[in-house]
Amino acid sequence: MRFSPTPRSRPTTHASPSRKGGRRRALIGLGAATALLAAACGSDDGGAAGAADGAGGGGGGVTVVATTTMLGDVTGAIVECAGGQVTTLMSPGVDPHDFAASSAQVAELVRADLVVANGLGLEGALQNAMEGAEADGATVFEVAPLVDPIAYDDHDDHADDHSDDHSDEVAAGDEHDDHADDHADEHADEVAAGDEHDDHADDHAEGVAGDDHGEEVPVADDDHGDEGDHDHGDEDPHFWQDVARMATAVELIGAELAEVSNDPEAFVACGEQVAEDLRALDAEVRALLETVPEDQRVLITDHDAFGYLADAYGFEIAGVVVPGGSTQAAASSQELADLVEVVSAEGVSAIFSNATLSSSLVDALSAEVGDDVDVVELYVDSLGPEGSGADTYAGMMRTNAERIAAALGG
Amino acid sequence: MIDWLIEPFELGFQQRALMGGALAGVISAVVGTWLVLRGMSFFGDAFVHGVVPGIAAAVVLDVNPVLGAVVAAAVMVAGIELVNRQTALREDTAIGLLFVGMLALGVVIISSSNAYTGDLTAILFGDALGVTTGDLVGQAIAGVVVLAVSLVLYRPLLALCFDGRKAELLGLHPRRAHGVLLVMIAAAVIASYQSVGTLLVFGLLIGPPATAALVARTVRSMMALATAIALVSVWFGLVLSYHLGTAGSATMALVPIVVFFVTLFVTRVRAAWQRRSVRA
Repeated sequence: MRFSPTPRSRPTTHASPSRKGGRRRALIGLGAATALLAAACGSDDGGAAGAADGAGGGGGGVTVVATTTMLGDVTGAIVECAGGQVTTLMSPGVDPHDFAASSAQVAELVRADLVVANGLGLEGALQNAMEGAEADGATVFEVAPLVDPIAYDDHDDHADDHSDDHSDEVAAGDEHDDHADDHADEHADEVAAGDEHDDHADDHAEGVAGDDHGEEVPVADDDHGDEGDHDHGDEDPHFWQDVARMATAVELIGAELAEVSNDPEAFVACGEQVAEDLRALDAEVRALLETVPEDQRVLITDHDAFGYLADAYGFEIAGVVVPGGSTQAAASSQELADLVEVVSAEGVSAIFSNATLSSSLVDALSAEVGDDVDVVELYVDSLGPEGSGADTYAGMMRTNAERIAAALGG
Repeated sequence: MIDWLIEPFELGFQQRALMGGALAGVISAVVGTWLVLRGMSFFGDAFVHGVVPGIAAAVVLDVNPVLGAVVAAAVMVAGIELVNRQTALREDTAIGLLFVGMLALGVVIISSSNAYTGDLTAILFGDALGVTTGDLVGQAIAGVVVLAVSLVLYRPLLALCFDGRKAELLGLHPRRAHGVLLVMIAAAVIASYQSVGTLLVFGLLIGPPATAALVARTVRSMMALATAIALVSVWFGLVLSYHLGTAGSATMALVPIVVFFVTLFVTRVRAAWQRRSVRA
């Protein structure tokens, strides 16, 4: 198919238009389109919070933006107590793995005193925009890397892939000196005999402890941060499923807010106050989950988001419907078949789906395993809507614990 | 009103998004003019989807995605040529086969990697708000190359677009010109996909030149007009995206298409009006 650039397929009676006429017509067309589009939208300000410079509530008024709904809720509690305002980027029910911000929202990130983010690749689609905002002067505080993150486990029957791979589990921070020492010893053993270096082990310890747990997100430098490498041994970002870790995170957020405010004591105190409340919640969640009999403490969930909950409250993850720790992957038929196998073998009485993200795979799985296995919705990566009982972080964790206990015969 | 138009570009990332879009617009308008004249729109469509498996594989293997895109582009073109030469099937069938095959391969690669956080939409729709200075430099280099090639090979490309046999007689090597055109399409897509996504590149390759074709009288003016339309589309798309809170790349891709239909309507109405006045 050839086509000539002039629309003269039909003979016209008038002389061919001058080039100038053609250009003018193009401009008229363009102008009309512009007017049309402009009329269609008026000039609302896109619901952006707009002015983000200053005027907070209390004495230490700060402007904070949190990415996820969980972080928005706990940061909100601190700020409510110390003064300032918090905007949460994501709405309840949004999947943080694929949430993309609008231009106005990224502008808020740049203008805020502090951005509280989860990190460790949770905000997959927001990664580039956050890096761009940082380049423009935003202060992004990523919490997950600082609360002793755990590595993703292989939840197959052979978890031994990871058992001999401790280097992933060495975290920055003092609590893990003993780990580092183990390593140091191992390394020291490799040193040729007769080499007596007292400080040798220390060198190694530092080298090991410092090797992959800086305060940075593990994002490969060479691929524009588009996606970090998410192989095994990568760290799990879903730390809020362990309330004790969230309490630690809240203290850190309070301290960080103190840095940017003009009333530091208030923020530190409020951070500790909120952390106190969360430790009480932790005890409550633990009590609820302890009612589940030992042999029933098996979770099958929509994606690999409950590693922390299993780790903290003594459960075992028997399988996940969507492989990996992101909601963005897809299962193969064999993976799903294996999972059906697991469900029957383990004799689990419930599989847990994601309340804010319906998955046809979970439905398929439940259809396959029959009626004696319930499908129970949990709040995984986002708070629930207003009035769901899970519209605050505390409510979300309490609701999940109650549902897990009820479903597994607690 | 002025504020409404300026406000979306106050901050650095917004300016980078505009620059990335503008560079993509210029490159695409120039290459797209040849693409539209040559009647290769479907090839272009297949092409922007065809680079997906290369990009996905590069991410999984942790090499530079641009390299993956180049390899995928080469495989795609080689596959189309193979089907063309070895069978009596027409070119659109060959393109269709490769289009579906490559896109499916991309999805397979993405799903084979257990914890791949990126997904298809990131490649197809880009991440305009995350454009880095490095991306812009790459685009600018590609832009200079594409413009230079279009100027230097203007006559062979023109001859190729209008009459391949005549070009052969004039000694203008239409096959070689065709090869150059393929490389330019590849350069346009690969340089810009990281800023704005492959689908927006395709929208800019087709929309502005098609609109310009409605009113332009020469290839040169079509190219100039397409560039102007592309630039206005990118800028206005970003303004709309900011105020309406919609996805940047998709909004930018939508504007030139709307402009096309509005222009079509206006030119038809005018033509009808002129015919009436001639008769009167």
